Amino acid sequence: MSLVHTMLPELILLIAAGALFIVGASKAAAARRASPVIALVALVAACLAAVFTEPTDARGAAVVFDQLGKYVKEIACGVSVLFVLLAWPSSADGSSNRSVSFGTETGEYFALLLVAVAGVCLTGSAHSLPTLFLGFELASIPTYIMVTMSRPQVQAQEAGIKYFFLGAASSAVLLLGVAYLFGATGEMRFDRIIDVLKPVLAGSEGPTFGGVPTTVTLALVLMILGLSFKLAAVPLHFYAGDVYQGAATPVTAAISFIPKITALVAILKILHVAGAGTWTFDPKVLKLLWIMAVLTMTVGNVLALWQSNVKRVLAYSSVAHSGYLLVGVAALAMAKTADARQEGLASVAFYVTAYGLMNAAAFGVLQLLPARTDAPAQTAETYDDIAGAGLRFPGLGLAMTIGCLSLIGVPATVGFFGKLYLLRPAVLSGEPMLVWLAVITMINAAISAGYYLKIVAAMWTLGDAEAPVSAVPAERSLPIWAAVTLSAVAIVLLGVVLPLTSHLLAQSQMAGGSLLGR
Amino acid sequence: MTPTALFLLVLFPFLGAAFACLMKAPKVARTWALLVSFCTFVFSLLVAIAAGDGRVTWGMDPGNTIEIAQIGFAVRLACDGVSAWLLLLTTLLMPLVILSVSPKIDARPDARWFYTWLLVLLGSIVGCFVAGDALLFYFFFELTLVPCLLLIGIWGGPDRRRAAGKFFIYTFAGSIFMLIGLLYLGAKAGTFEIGALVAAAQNPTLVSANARFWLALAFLAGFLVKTPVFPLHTWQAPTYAESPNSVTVVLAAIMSKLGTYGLLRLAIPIGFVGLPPGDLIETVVALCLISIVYGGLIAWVQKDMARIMAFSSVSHLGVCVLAILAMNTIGLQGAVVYMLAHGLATAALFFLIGMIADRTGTRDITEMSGLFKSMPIAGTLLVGFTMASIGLPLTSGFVGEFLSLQGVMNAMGLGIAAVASLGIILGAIYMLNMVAKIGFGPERAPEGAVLRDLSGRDLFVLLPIAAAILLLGVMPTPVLDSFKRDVAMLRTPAYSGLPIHSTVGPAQSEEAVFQEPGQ
Repeated sequence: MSLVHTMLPELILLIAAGALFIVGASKAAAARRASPVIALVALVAACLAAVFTEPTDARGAAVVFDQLGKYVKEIACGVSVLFVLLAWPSSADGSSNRSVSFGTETGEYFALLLVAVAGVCLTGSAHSLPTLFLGFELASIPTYIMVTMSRPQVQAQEAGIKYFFLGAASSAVLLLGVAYLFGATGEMRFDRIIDVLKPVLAGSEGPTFGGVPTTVTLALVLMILGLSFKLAAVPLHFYAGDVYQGAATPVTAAISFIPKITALVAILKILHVAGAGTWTFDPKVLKLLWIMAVLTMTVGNVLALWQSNVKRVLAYSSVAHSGYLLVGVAALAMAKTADARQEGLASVAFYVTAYGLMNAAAFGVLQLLPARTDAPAQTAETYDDIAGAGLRFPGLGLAMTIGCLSLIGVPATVGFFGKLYLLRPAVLSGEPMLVWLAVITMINAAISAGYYLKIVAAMWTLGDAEAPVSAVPAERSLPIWAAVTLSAVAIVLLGVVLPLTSHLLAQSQMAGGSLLGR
Repeated sequence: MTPTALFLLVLFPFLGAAFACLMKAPKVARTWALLVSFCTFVFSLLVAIAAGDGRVTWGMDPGNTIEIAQIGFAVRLACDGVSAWLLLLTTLLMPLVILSVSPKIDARPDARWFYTWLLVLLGSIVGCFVAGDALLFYFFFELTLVPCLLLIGIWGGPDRRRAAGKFFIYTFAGSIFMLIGLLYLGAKAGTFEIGALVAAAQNPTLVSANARFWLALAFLAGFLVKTPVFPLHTWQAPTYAESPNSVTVVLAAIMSKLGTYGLLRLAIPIGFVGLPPGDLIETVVALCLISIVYGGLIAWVQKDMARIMAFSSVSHLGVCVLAILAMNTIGLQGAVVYMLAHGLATAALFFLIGMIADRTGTRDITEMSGLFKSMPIAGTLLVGFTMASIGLPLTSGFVGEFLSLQGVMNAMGLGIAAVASLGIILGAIYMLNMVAKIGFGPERAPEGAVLRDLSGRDLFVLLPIAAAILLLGVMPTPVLDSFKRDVAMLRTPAYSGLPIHSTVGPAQSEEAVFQEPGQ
């Protein structure tokens, strides 16, 4: 397979991004209005390119197109279509909708979004340490700018700066880990690193006590920590609230998914590599993952309970969901059989997709609802803003309800099967630590019901807000409505039409299998 | 034909709901919902008649069903005698519930959604009762929370927000442990089909005694919250008080049976059958006894009729759970009849409470008296249904109570049965207290009350229930026979090689009691 063929989705996205940067230079309103269309077409084309390319098991280059890469590209491009729709400018001059205000930089914004998605795709295909890091940075750097440029307000600037500095620091930590791994093995490409490590790790499958070189463990821990910043995993979650609140809502939706899927794919890959392809780890790493999973979901959920700003609630809920994803990662790392590992991998891959959909639905509804007060945004951000919204706009109330129930994991939504599938490997392993992890996850799901239901309740009751319901109608932007409808319908369909769910699960299983040499 | 009817039975209310939400006019939506629920009743009759001859199943063969193979989630449906009667209770009451929906709800622009969610609720309750797969049962069990949450949260009373949230979180938190237990057991059994799951749980080589203890605890957590049993009942009174009356009927009469049904179908066979009595079951017995007495005493001092009924449910269902824990055929038979009887009587009483509250504008028994002078028909029916609730002979309540206590006495001895029967005495006290306060004495009602007697529609709602109560009370034998084999199967170890233990206390020959002549 030629390199062009392997990297077709990335190339499409980057070429379109280049075109958008050029279009963005124009001051004409028509150019700004055309930008989202170009981005949309590019994403759909990249998604189709990924769908219609046959994956291979050839691993002789720094970039490969295996099942995992294919899955990541399809999901990243598919879900990012929603982010383009959410950021679609509705004003006549193509510079803003109620939530975002790009000024003259509409083209640049969509270009950056495409670059970030290309970064996710590259991470999915990465087969060497430099390409992995490159993909990771390609997905990260545009998001810093996106946060800052999304609205001309101090909060957004502050959020962008905070995000950038912490992100840069975490990249440095990641890079340090990469350097250690390179130093320990003398190789960059994943298959060669595995060849070097395999004899060292005594060839025994599964967790072993001792025998793992300290440098490899150190490298792994550093890389996990570097990546966990993007996951907003405890203890690197502090930025989440401010950054998510400061960014304009469509950007918040994007940065709660794109960095998350990038970091997750990267973690899966480095676990595979540093475990010498046989998933052999120092038990301390397993403990670290376990503790991170528990802390991340618990801290995220508890912090979310205290918030009064719905965007902040969703920010901390995003932290909690990273914790759930880490449950899958922990189950994967502690698994003793290849089947269990495949389930662990697949459950993470499936859940991240589900999360992308539910998240887009929740943020999309916020974007359509008017705010009660003008500053800092024209669209809903606080509980007061959304109070009684469902009574005025039953469709939006329903969509928000579907999104929140799916985030809790209630039946007839994709979240239910996501959580079920996520817990399955943990419970199936019979390992007491993992069974406890499953119990803690479900207790967390019950805690999360507390604040998700608060959102649902706020939507359907007028609440304590004394201010009269604002007479401003909902945003009448067709693309945003389309994004909300699409994601809400997908959530329900994937929770009800079992063959469809089964198909997506099969895809995620195949994706997982490619890291196991299946 | 009948298996297909079983599948359609589950699918039909959901399809109906999908159309109901498109009907803008409340009248149309209401008629449509009525039609759908009535058709569901007809379907369930077909299935129930067939189930009389033996278990009706759909999708039990592997590969021949709708499933997500990766998770082991499969649509397997099964209906035996026990399921059939609870199914009939549900589908009989639901059209009446829809008929009784208050005009105040019809006046709102979002009325069609009310009917949509009622149909979704109907579908998920039906799904629970006919699920042949434990994971599917869990799916529907949790799904019932969604329509309930919205029905209470959108159309409920002033404090609906807190009530809806409390209701959701309590039930959800209880059932999450059940999910972990289910996944664990499913891994051992290799399937979630209920029969295989039960057999696996009882197989000591697959599931150790210690694991079985935790499994029992996990399932009890889910179902005792739903029933509810002391001290897990605190969600119930506010929920009943804040829900729209038609929803309260569903919650009290039907959904509380999901808890007892789950105990009967899953928790008891998985957790206890084949084991000698242990601390856990004795603890639950103690909780039931506390529920019976405590619920009755609290009901006595309540002023809100909905709250009286809520605490009376705690008290009554305590007897029901006790009879299930007795785990002998007569106790289980009694428990099933008790569920039916409680469902019918509670539904009728809540309908009446709603009708009275519509006329007087309040449910507070201290604010009204002497209503029966202007409302003689309502008075007659209220007294009648109260008698059914207390368990007067010739009503269904008597059959359920008698058999349940008989089962409890056989398994657990006279002492526990004696405490349990306190519930009946307390029941008579607080129910008659309520009837006397609102019915007799000088006529008094809050201002603006219009003391019309029951309308034709009201009678149309109540009379079918009255007929069912009398029918069940006068000739219980055909009903008892129709599911005798099925309850016997529930208490027989599915895994051969286990002894049959009766639970607490001395086992007695209980098969000989209360049998028909000629059997």
